[in-house]
Amino acid sequence: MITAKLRNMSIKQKLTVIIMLTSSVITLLAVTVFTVWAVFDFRRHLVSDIQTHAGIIANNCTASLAFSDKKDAKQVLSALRAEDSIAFACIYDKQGRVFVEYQRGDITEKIQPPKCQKDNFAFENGYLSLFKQIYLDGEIIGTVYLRDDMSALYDELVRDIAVAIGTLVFLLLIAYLLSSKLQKAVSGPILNLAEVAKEVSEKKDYSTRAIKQTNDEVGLLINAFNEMLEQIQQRDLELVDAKEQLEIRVQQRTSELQAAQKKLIKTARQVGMAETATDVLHNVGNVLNSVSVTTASIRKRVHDSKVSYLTEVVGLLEEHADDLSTFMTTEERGRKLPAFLANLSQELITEQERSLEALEMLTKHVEHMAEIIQLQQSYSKTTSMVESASVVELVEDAIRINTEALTRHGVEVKREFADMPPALLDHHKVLQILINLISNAKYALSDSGRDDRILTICVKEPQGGHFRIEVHDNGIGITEENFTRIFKHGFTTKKHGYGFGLHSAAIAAKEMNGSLTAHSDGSGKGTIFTLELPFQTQEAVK
Amino acid sequence: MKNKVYILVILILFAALFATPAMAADSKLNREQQIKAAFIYNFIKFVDWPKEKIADSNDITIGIIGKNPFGNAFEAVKGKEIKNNKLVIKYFPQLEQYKAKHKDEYKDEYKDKYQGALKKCYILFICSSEKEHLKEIINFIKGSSVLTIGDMDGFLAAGGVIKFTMEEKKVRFEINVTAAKRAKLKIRSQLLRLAKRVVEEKPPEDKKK
Repeated sequence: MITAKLRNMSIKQKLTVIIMLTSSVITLLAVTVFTVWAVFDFRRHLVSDIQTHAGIIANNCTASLAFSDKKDAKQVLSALRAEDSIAFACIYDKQGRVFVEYQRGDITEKIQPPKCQKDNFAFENGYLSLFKQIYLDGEIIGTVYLRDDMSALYDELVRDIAVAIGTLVFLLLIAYLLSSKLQKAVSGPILNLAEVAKEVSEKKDYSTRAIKQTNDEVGLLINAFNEMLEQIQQRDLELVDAKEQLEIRVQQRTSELQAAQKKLIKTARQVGMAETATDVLHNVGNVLNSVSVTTASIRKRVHDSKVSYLTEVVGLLEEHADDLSTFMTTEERGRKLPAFLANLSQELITEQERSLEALEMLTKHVEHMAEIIQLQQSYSKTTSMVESASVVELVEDAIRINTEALTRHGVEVKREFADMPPALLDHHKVLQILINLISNAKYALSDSGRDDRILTICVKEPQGGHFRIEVHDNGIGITEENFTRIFKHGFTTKKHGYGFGLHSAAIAAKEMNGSLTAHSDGSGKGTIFTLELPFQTQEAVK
Repeated sequence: MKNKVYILVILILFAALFATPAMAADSKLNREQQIKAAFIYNFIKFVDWPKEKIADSNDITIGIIGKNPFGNAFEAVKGKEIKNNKLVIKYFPQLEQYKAKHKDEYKDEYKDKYQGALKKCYILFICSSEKEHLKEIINFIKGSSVLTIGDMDGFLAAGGVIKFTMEEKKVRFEINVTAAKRAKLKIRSQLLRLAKRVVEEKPPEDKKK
């Protein structure tokens, strides 16, 4: 408990307490020892004193006893009046009967003499009883009994204790004064050090130094402390320097990163757009191919047109303008002309029909192209547009863009569309993802080399706030080793791919709070890409 | 030795013969005599005899001359060791009787014998019966350090050392220090203190001188 209290004290208090405690305990012990010693010593002296008295009395009253002179014996005892502490005395005769007795004047109560005993003394009830036998010529002729009430002892004890307490207080006062002076030698430097340490910790000023005052352990401590401060200061400076440099570097890096990010975003967007554009252009190319084929056939048809026969007929007619009726009736060629013209007109009508047909086809192709480009233009706006749209129409758009390529690769498209109300979607992103998925499926099917190339697109009913678009193909599938890499940037299995399609598609899905996942039972077992998106209707938003 | 014992026994019987009626008559008197006997015994302890006396005799003899008033009071202390010596009690007949008995042969030689025996005593109690011969007896033992004790009137004046007196029915004593000094006896102060009276009575011879 004392140590617990000590723990919370300041060093100054501790030193004072320790010194005061030590000195007071020692002084108290000394006083106690001396008091106890004094008591014992006093008792010893008292016994020897009383014994001497008893001896004198014994010696003085031998004759009185021998000649049974009570008067004389009383006179002998009356000498005890000079002894304040002897309360009672008596002399017994040879037979142990009380011969004479003495009682101190101030004691009014009659003291009964005790039974006679041999040489003996005892401290009892605050007094000393002492028996001394009286010898005469080697013969016991009686006994002296003395009783000392030890009042002197108590007086002396009280005085001693008073002196002891006074001394104790005085010594403690001196000890306190001395300790409060001397403790400064120990506590001063420590307090100074503590002050400095506090200052340092409060102000964080590591340039402060404690002043060494002594050459003892505290001096060593102060030295060590100063050294430590120096190191801390050094380190602090270094740290501040490093921090500043680091900040600069961080700023540099941050701006670099920001620039890179911007660039990356831009690039990504561009690449995404490029990829989509590639797909679109590819489709456009496919259509264009058809256009050129159609154009060539039209051209050939126009080139091989029977119209030239008409020119010949016209020339023949102009030649025979004067005798047209003759020519028509007489000449062989003239006679066959109406039939020829009828035939020709028939041919021309057929031709015209076919040309119209081809032109219609051409128009359709061109319209398709225009449509694709228009779609691409409408979707390729950089800002995302969230609009309510029919998911099925969006899917159809995606298919339409790819129609030519799909047809060319001999892919059969199956549609499994569930009934769905229009949903709020970012058209461009969804279309980009779908075009990419269809394009991938097309390649997967094409690469598989199988005859039944089937692309199944499913639009599943919304469930739990999400709806799914699944793109199935029975193409080459995904090998296990590629499975984890397909969504990574820069990974591709295509000859001319950037490896950006699926990556940006996945990012786009994520941006829409959706997900893009792939599933394949292995190489050659087809792939299922699942695009899951949150389902929100315009009404629900409103 | 045997003779002595024989004589003693006779003497005791003789004394008893006289003492018995007295004892029977008054036990108080007997008690007084007993106390006196005890005092006589105790005086030995408070008186110092000169070295010559001690060298002369190993026994400490208490002589009682005349009609023994103590009866058998001394029998209890007889033969006891006192001051490292044996206590001897000697009873001397009345001088008158002695003289009568040895009338014919009362010569210097016999006188010397009697006187020698008295002189050997440390203490001589002179009984009241010897009042007439007091001076004679004291003269007999002159210069031989005998403590003379008696209880008759004029005992101290006659040159006796200690005289018993009665005070309030208690036995007390008086001391003649001059006589003691002359006998080269040192009486201890304790004893002197107890004495009812200490006198410096000079013997008649000295007075004459």
